[in-house]
Amino acid sequence: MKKNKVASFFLRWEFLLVALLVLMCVVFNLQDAARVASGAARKDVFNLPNVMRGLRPYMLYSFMTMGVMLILAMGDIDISTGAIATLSVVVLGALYNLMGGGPVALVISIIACLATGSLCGAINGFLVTRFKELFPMIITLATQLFFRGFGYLLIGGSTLTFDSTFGVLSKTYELVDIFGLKVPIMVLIFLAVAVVFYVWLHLTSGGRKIFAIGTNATTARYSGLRVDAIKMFCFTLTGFMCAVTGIFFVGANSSSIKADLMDGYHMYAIAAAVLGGFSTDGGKGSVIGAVLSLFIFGIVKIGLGTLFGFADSAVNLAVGVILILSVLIPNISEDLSKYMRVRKQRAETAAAKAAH
Amino acid sequence: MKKVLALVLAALLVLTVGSALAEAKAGDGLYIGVVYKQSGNPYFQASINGFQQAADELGFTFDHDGPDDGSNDGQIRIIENFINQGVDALIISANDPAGLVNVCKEAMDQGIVVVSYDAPVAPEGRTADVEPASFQQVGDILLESIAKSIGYEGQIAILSASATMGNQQYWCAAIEKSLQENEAYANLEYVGTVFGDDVYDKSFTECEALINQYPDLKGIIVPTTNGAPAVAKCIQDHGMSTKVTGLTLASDMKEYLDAGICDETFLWNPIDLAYVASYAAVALINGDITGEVGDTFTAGDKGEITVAQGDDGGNTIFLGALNTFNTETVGEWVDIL
Repeated sequence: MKKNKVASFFLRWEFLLVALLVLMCVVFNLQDAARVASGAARKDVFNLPNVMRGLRPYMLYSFMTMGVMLILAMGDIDISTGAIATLSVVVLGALYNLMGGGPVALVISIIACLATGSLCGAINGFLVTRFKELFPMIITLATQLFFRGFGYLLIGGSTLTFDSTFGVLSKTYELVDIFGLKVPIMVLIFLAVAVVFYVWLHLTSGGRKIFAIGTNATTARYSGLRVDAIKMFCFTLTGFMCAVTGIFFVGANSSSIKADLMDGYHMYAIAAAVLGGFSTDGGKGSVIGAVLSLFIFGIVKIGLGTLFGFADSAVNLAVGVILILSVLIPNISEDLSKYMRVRKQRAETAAAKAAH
Repeated sequence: MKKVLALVLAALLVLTVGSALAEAKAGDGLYIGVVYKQSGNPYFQASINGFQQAADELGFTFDHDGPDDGSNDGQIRIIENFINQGVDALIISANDPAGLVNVCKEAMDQGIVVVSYDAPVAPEGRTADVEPASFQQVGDILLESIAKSIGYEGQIAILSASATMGNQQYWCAAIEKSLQENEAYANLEYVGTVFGDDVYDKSFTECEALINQYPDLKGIIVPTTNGAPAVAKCIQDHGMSTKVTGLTLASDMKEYLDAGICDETFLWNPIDLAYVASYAAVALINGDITGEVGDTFTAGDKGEITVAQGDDGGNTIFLGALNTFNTETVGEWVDIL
């Protein structure tokens, strides 16, 4: 019974996200048509090819969102993800130049980049499982500052630039032709990764263990789950996904690396996971919801920017509004249904009394 | 059902607020997207006047935006938006010369003219670049100014923003080159460069450290607009006779020019830069020029300008000399820069 309720809730939540996505597209298309009709724009702007191109900057943090969502499902939080991604690419760039460039150096430094991300994640995992009296928020705040500082320690304020071999990474930002539609390679890879996460988290016992920890870590431990080991694994995996985000970021950034990149990305990742149904209390959430949320945030930012004249720094207000609504609406609707139930009962009681 | 309704209403609310903010653009005529380094920076606010003036004369429309954190990926997002809106040209002041190459190449593939101004996009990512003066010219002007102020003798230092900021590192290199090569500066002793990140407080602290280490310091060159008033204030507070020059806003430096801490300071005119960049962009769109070295075009009331070989090896349009602020001229500029 309980399980059915949970399942139906998520079905409905994902349905709501799809509805929101469709609604946004309808409104943006109407505005687009209105602009063309009124002569405010020469041609339509909100079409599929444009959205596909425009999505790319907003999909960079999709990979780290896959990790952040695991951590939220366990009832923890990680705000060091942007810093991990930055430190990973700093290691990538510094090592590549140190080795003098070339394809071999590129492969080795990409491995080092992924290893750095994983190591940073493991450090988070170790601290969180070892010092349970500290909030993960504080621990990852501390490691965030540490990782950012460490990046500066490695390359200072300089901007790393590279030879043409390194430019191969720019391919990750390109579009690929699929049945005549140009789709970002990044999005295709992300969707493949998301399928893996979906299968693991929702269809295997390993994934259910993560939700079990988030629902009640103590019960999970007494049930024989190796809670600390699982947490350690999830934090490490998150670090790895941050490094992946970093590699795509370098591709987008025309292979230019500094120590102050990806500021605020941890917040975008958490926002997408939370809108996807993951809560900081843990124990719930859906991969499909998180994926939909990433597209919702991307498309709302594109629409507000290109059709409604919002400045780049203003579009984030949409993220805030959607996020607050996503928390408020389930609460309000619950209150509303309680109120309706009470009223119905009262009416029945009154009717019963009147019948007497 | 109620959930859906509430969501619909909320979304509509957000969007109606949005449409109130949307501006109408002229249907015909050229449409240009201006991307500057950071939103809220007064320097770029001023340059908008130059774009507006050119727009009035040439009949194009333009929109402008910059990331609030001055980041490269913020500029990428803005450029992607402008590409999607179908701009005819992008006029960009780049935070990171190399970082915008991919996205600018995509723009050029779609037939969009990419003109950088003030801070260049790397040559492979632009059609042309508009700069006030070459790095060497700027370096020479600053060095000559400080040398004149201190009688061509004594210790001098540079307070720059950061070692990586494109223009900063080249100006410093130009100053160091002239110090070594020009006989006139044989009696100047260059003690080094410190970095203030173009932040007032940091520049102030760095300046204090500098004058503590070199109490006989005669002059400081500060090619950063937020650094210069900090250095001048620091010298004033410590009651020293060290002279200061640099690239500064007029409004920041008026009191220090009047107090004699600076004899003269310099800046280009962002309004003129924007104005010339607009004329260059329109000439490129119309095919009057291709942006090759040696191409000549008329930039409104600034007259004929020829495309030259830039400091970074790409095609660059140099405006010429700098604006000089001294006790006589600073008054005219105080309200503009």
